[in-house]
Amino acid sequence: MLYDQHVDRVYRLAFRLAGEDELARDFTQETFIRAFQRLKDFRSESSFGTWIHTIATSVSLNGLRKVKKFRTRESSLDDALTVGAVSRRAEPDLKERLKQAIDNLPEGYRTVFVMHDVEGYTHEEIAAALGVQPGTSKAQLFRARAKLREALADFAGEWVS
Amino acid sequence: MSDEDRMDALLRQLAADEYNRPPEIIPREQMWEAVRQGIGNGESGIQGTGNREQGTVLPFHRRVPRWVYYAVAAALLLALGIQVGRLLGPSPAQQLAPRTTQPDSLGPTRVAPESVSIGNPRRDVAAVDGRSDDGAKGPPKQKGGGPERQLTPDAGNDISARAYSVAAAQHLTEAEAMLTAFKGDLSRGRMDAEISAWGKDLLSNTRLLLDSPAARDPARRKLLQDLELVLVQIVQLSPNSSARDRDLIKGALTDDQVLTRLRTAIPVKGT
Repeated sequence: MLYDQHVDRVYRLAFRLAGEDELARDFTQETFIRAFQRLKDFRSESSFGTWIHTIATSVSLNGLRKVKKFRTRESSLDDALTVGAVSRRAEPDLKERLKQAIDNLPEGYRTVFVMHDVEGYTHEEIAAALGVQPGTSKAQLFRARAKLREALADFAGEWVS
Repeated sequence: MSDEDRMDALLRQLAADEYNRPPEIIPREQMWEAVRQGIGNGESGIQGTGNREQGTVLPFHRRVPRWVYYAVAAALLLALGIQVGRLLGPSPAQQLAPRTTQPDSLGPTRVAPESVSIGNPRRDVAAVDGRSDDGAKGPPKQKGGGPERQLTPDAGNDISARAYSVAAAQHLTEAEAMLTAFKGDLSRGRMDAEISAWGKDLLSNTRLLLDSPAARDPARRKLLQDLELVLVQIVQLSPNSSARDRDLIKGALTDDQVLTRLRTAIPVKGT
């Protein structure tokens, strides 16, 4: 069954992008609903897996933009109240810093980094899902890694030794 | 291996192990249930797929910076839809007054007694009491030279139904956006006052729609009723509400699959 074949990978990608179970479920469900409703539009030029990942990335990224826009509005209010406390916080550990660094990547870089380096998609799969050239995917991954290295430069000494 | 390569490999490994790591057990069955329900609703509530771009969700919120504008736009559209429906639907005078046969001498441009004109929808009422637009007795006369476009009552009702459908779709789109934002709040255990105000607007529009012909479709009516129930709970939720109150709303959202059904019921772009 198509659902059983693809649901795990779609959910994993949605979770990696969203970071929350509820959002990941919503995105996965919406992906399959849209896919089944438009199954007649599916042409066998690409595999079903590629097609459903195209839908999944689009649904997830659009959904995240919606949520992010709302949360940004809220957090700007919170920041105004807690601006003094932030500087006194202890330095977060590497995991937390890595998460922040990945979260802060531009959307395109982050998506490619998560798909390639975290979830193991090939550049061809990423390109098909995002509607770009494989070369674009490679370039974005290169820049994403460079930005992460830059953001975590103060840890570099510990790692490479 | 250079330092950069080594650092990239370590970052990759750490990210794969730690970054937004999905749970080991994936809730396939629960999601399948929601998908099945969503598809079922889609069959009865959604018409066509149009020329919508593959894989994109509705661009409802994409270009407008604040949701407030959407709330106002939706309310205006809803009011417009209802007004159009009233204008195009059968008027009380039409229903009560006996129909009269117009003399043949009226010529080809006369308004047929059983037709409704788009350009001047109330002219049929004037025809009933034998008064023209300028108040003079006699057969009604057309303004302008060419033959006027005429519609049968069925066509008028069709337009009216479409107007209600458009208003309903706009409303459901906004409700979906609001509930998504609310779910985000809920998962973080907080409640924004703006959400409550937004919910109030949506609640009143939901009630209007339930009382309109838009609710004749049984699937849509059920969805609007469930939505109304959830909105009432959200509106009544205070910032100091207990976790139990929040859980109840969460349960209502999850058990009835309101959000999923909303997403399914929203017509795709271009239809």
